[in-house]
Amino acid sequence: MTGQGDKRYLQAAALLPPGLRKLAEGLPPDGQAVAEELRLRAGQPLAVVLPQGEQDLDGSSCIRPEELGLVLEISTQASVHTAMDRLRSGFFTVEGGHRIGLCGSAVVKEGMVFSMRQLSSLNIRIARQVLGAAKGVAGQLWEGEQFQSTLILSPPGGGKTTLLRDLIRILSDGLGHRPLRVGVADERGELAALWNGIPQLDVGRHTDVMDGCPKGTALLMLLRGMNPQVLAADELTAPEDCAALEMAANCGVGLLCTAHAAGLEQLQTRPFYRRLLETRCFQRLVVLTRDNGMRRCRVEAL
Amino acid sequence: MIRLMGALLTAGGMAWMGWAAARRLSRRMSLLNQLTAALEQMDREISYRLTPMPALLEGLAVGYPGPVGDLFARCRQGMAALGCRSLGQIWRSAVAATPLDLDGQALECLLELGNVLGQYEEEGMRAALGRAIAALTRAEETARAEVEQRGRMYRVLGVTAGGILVILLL
Repeated sequence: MTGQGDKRYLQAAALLPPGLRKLAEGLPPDGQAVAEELRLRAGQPLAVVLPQGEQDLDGSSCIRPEELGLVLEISTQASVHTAMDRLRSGFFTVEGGHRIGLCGSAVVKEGMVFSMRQLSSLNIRIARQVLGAAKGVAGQLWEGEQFQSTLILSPPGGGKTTLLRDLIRILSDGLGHRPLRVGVADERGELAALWNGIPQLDVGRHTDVMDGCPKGTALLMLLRGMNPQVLAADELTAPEDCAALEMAANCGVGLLCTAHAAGLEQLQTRPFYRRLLETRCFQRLVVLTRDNGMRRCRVEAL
Repeated sequence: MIRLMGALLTAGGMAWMGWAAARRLSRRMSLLNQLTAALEQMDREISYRLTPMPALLEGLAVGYPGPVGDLFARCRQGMAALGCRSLGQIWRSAVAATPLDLDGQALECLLELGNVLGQYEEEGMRAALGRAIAALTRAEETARAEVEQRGRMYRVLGVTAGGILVILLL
């Protein structure tokens, strides 16, 4: 894990301009292995987020606003136009699945964010894959030879995406059961992190990934075009996503999704989730919780 | 015999100078035409495919011969230094290093393109490309008129000057 951690950290640090990159690379290997984010704020030193909190990197001087622009230029390979739709939602994903969040002065046209006039801060979230994260859960999602549609719940930052990605890999590679064709609607590019058509994160050999388009649309396209046995999507948020899932469930396709919620009770307070539960689109619920810093995973039958 | 040879060489040399001057004008017109076509292709790629800059520059470098292809190839190679230098700086260096035979507004518009390429949304880039294309088209029209008017004149002048020189020398 340490080797992978270092490699992923260095891959994220490579998005920085040379001066800042050198500073970031100076973080000791044990820190690199657990670093979660690199934070850049104009007028402030470069900081790294570690499990114990955020800390300034040694020797870092104040970041100049133009350096933030350079990060954007490096990470999009001077192709901001290709990432504009994602930039407008405040973040975009780069090679390796790292996610760059942006903040600054927005330009608004017709009530919608059109672009960013001036960046004030950036956050590079380092993508990490935890192979085996779903090992203890995967076996509980089957009823005989039938995969049971599953909804993963946790508050933000609870590890839903990591668990979902590993479940996709396990289902697709057929670890412990027959392999299934999995269609992934990866709207934000965080699950598979496609780069030149190749997933940068392991999502299994029988997985088809559709990224960059709204989940609802991607789910329907996968359903029509790729004949999936399981459809997966991260963070259901819109009624259209749920409508697409309902259609897929009616076609006999298994579902594997995540949602922001602390538990079933909280989920039931939201109308479109309630409908999914009432129509029995999901048969299993995986609830992730943190107890004294330890992640716990509970599987419930619905 | 030697005098005749010398006279012929002198006449030929002068005629060649006239032809070379006319050819320079034609070459400039052809370069402007290719550069306009390349920028139009760039505009289409950005508009229809949102092609990333590295792929776009690579495609143009391969697709166009001579200095126009060299300009995009230089720019693509310069992208290895992205982070140390912005694409704008890389573009301006590439324009300066390539013998495009541009001046005035056409050169200004081409240099300005560097401030926009890869940094703006699709609409912004297309607007800048549109301005550069318009300036290059105007320059191409001027160059075409020069080829028609001055090209013939240079050729005739070359031959005539050669002839006169030979008469004077003989």
